[in-house]
Order: sequence, then C-alpha cells, then structure tokens
Amino acid sequence: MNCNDVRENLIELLTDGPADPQVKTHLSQCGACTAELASMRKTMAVLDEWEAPEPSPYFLTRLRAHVKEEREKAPAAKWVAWLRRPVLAVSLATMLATGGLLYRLTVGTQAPDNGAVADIESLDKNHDLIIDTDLVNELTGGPSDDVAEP
Amino acid sequence: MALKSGLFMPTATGRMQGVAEMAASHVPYDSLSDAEVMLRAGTDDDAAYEYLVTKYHRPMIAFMYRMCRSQALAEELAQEVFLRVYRSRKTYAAEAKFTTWLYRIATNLAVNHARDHKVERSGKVVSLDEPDEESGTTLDVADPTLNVEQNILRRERLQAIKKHVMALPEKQRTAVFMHKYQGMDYREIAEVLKLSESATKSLLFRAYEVLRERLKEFV
Repeated sequence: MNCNDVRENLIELLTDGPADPQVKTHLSQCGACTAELASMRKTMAVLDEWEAPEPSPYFLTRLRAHVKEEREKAPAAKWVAWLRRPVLAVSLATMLATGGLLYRLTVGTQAPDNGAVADIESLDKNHDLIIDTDLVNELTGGPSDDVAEP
Repeated sequence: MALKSGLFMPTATGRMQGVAEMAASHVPYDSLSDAEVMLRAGTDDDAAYEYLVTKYHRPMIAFMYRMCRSQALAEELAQEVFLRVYRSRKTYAAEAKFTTWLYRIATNLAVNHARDHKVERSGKVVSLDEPDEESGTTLDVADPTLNVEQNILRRERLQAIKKHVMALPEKQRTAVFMHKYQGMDYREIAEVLKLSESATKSLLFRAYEVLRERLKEFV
C-alpha cells in the first residue's frame, strides 16, 4: 500500500471510510495522505453548500394534469399508430396504383379524341366543304376541278 | 425473468383478475423494487406510477436544477422526464435499475436542452436579487439568521462555487452531480453515462481533484 493507492481511492474513503486495514494503517502513518483526505473532505463540505430549492407546491398537480391529457389523447394516438402500420401503407399504395392505372386506361381510350381523331374529323369536314364548293361552281358554270373523261 | 412470469405477466384469467384486484387495492409498493413498481405501472396501475413520481420528483428536480441552474426550467424538464416515463410505461423492460433508466432520460434531456439553448443562455444576465419569473423565489434564498451584508457575501460565495462546478467538462460535471448530490454509486453512474466503471471512477477522481484546487479559497 503506497500513497498513490490511497489517493486514488480518496472518494471511497470519504464516503465509506477505510474498509481495508492496510489503508487505515497507511493513513495513520502518512501525514501527506491524511492531509489529502482532510482537504478533500473540506472540498466536499464546500460543495454541500449548494442546496437545491424545494419543488413548487404545484409540481405534482401540473404533472397529474399532463398525465391526464396524455391518457385522454391515447385513443387518437392509437388511430394514428394504426394509420402508420406498414400493412395499411401497402394497401393505400396499392389502391393509389390501381386508381392511377384505371385512370390511365380510361383516359388512354379517350386520348385520340383530343388529337388524331379530331384532326381526321376536321379533314373530313374540309373534304365535304371542298366537294360542296366544287358542286356549286359546276352548277353556276364556274371552273370545275373534275378531270374530263377521255 | 421470474418477475414477468409471476406477478406481472399473468397467463391465466384468474391470475389476471388477481393482478387487477391487487392494482385496485392498496399495494405495498415499498416492498417491491422500483423496477417491479414500474412494471406494474405498465399494466395501467396508476397508483404505481404515482408512487414513483412521489418518490423521485424531489431528487429529480434537484438534479435538473443543478444541471440547468433555474428552478422553473428544472421543474419543466422534470415534468418532461416523468411524462416520458409515463409514455414508455408499456415498453419498459426492467433491463437496468429504474433509477438508471430515469437518470438516463433526465441527463439526455438536460444535456440536449443545454446544447439547444447555449447561445440563448450565454447572453442572459441573471440577477441574484430579482425573483424567478415563474416560481417567485430568488435564486438562493436568504438565510434569515444573517444580516444583509452576510447574506450578500453568502450569495457571492455560492455563485462562485457554482461557477467552478459548472466550469467542469460536461461529463465530469454530470458525474459529480450524480455522485455528490444524488448519491449514486460508480456502477450506476457508469450505466447512465455509458462508460466503464473504471472510466467513471477516473472521471470523478479528475473532477474532484480540479474542484479541490479551484475551491481552495472557499475552504
């Protein structure tokens, strides 16, 4: 047992006392270690001066109110938790994907209405108009684009 | 675990009724460990939760007060600690001592709060004479047995002591609070701070050596 062994255990010596008889013997013979121990004891006494205040009388009342709130919102929280379940998330994703696919299929069949079909209809109308104009020209003795038969 | 298979995890209906009856009637929580009481709180035994809050709210507020140096904030943070305990009551596994778990929640909360509000706090001037906004108490209650001058000296001395303790690195300071003021042993502090027992011992040794040097003038 040397001074280092004792000094490394000063804290335990202060709280529990010298349990080891060797430490006790060393302390009774070593003035430096005894002084170290006394100095640490004084430091601890200084630290004891820092007292914590008493809790406010409303602390427990406030906490109970918070706990009550927590308990009351628990059913809602369960719903949220249920909504967050992976199975539900997968179901929702599948529903969204199916919906998207159906929409795409439905719109897909109607899509030419807005594009090619409209153009074809427009061409048909123009063709009818040209024929009508040609007919009027022929009736009024105007020029005709009919090719003369040989 | 004997605990779970016995009292707290009943399998038969009759056993379940027995537990419910026990919860409803007066249970001598003093005869149970805190972990056992917490497991009971997990079965919606509100009296068990209340017992733990009543038992630990004072030391918890004191711990938080030293961590953040404001009584109002200490109480606010302590409320949050106990609310987190309540929210986790169903998942509490009793793998460690109840107090280890409790102080781990508290330490994380206090350290995170201090980090989040570091800039705010550094710019705040705290008056020693003005009462706290919420609690209405002054930071250090005057000793009625001392005269005005002695009280001022006492306050200044206390502020200086606090300043020296607060100047310790975060982990050393937290360890000192738990060891010196909460009466926790090396093993428990080590578990809260996620250190080895020998590292905790060495951390505390260094902290107390620094404090002994810095507090010499107050001895």
